[in-house]
Amino acid sequence: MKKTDTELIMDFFKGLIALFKGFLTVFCQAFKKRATLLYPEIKPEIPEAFRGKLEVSYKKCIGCGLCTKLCPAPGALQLKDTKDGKKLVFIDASRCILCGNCAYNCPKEALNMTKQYELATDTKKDLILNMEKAASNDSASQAMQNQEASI
Amino acid sequence: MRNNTRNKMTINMGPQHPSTHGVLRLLLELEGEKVLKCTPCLGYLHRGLEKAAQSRLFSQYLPMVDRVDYLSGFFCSHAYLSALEELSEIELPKKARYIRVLTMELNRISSHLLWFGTFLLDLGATGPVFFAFNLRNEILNIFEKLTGARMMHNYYVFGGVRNDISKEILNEISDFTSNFDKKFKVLENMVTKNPVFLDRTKDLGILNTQNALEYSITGVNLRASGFNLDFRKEKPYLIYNELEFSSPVAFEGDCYSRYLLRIEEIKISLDLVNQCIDWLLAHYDEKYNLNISPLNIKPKPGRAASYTESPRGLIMCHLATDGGDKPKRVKWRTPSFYAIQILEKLLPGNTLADVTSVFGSLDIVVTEADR
Repeated sequence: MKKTDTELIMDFFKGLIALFKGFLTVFCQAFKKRATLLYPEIKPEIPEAFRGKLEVSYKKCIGCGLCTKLCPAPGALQLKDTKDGKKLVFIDASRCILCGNCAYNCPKEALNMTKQYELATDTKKDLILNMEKAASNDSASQAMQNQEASI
Repeated sequence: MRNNTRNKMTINMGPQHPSTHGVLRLLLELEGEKVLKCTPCLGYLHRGLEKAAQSRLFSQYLPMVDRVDYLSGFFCSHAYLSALEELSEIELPKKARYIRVLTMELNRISSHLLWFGTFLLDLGATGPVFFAFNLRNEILNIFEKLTGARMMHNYYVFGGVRNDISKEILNEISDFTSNFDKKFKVLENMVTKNPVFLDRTKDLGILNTQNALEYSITGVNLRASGFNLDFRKEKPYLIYNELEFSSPVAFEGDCYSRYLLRIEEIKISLDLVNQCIDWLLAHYDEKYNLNISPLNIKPKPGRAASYTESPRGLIMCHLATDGGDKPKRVKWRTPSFYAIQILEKLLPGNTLADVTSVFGSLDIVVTEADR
């Protein structure tokens, strides 16, 4: 169906009005508050429930292995034998998909998702947890707490 | 590559093309600017999610389900869990049902907003995508507070949802919904009556009812072709039979009517969210505890299929179990797979520049088609 001349002229003006309305709404946005953050200088506010990098507290871990059963990513969580014959959980953050299945179901709340979200590193090794170091950190903090308690 | 006939040319659109929403390859046969034939090639995003289910426990598979369709993770989670709950004969608490519908409808809005931005980006309009993403960001912030993640939520668990929704978050959602109309008006003013947009979408890519049904198209794409099929009304799951909503239909079947219907669906979802918030605020003191251990999910042997109306159409999860703690077979029926197949019917006859308009209006997510 071909349009008549008057219809075409009407369409032209309708289109013109719609275009200007669009331009005007975009122009008005220029005076609104900035929507973005100046990221590296200003950090976003992270909510309490946020699932960031996975961490384990060896003070609380009993090596039950529930987390390894529920982890969907192969190799992210493993049970490893320690020197004193115990079994403890080992985290490979490079394989972790941050789903939180382990932390939500941990019976002793040993695993928890931190608010750490900047996970880019130079080498993959930085993401693999050093068990001895973490354990020593745990024992150091235990010693600190004991000291505080004694004071 | 030139064919024997002088004017014919075969080109690849994709797999690394910005407007293919993932990694889809379209093999186009052109004569000048006109498309003669289109062959969609899939498989570049296949992750084997169906096979992966067979070697994982029921709850171990849950985080992977969110990744079937990254834009509407809640719908996939619900599709899988409702099939599992049907086999285990578990009745969901009413509050959990309302929370699921609330989050799912918010998810629908966020998914449609992303579609809105990328559809216009495909057409060459770079402005609206920023406005749409800004609005979508507010929903994602709410999801982050509630579930801990912006897109891969892992929030639904067997028998309900992981944690109860707090009053603070409910108030935040109601703030969002009350301000939404004003903010969304900006997007509509920019686009809906824009003459350039009208020229590029009206009477283009017309999908008639018969073709849509033959190719098993569902969701908005089917409703835009004049066939009213909404699984929220057809097979009411959760509490959709208690909520008041309409499912609008258009009869033109072109890109513009698909656009208008999606806009309409955003408004309907907003209304549903408001209804859920009202109920949840009225029953705020009702507590429910989940005492189901994730290792104790052992449904009886059998088969179950669930129907979920996702933003892109019908998601079906077909689950077969043999009484063990792992699924015997998980089969996904995802709407984008069917929407991609229809391209070979819709594209011939159009110009190369119109390929992105037709493709964008169908709202295809390739991860979902490939899974």
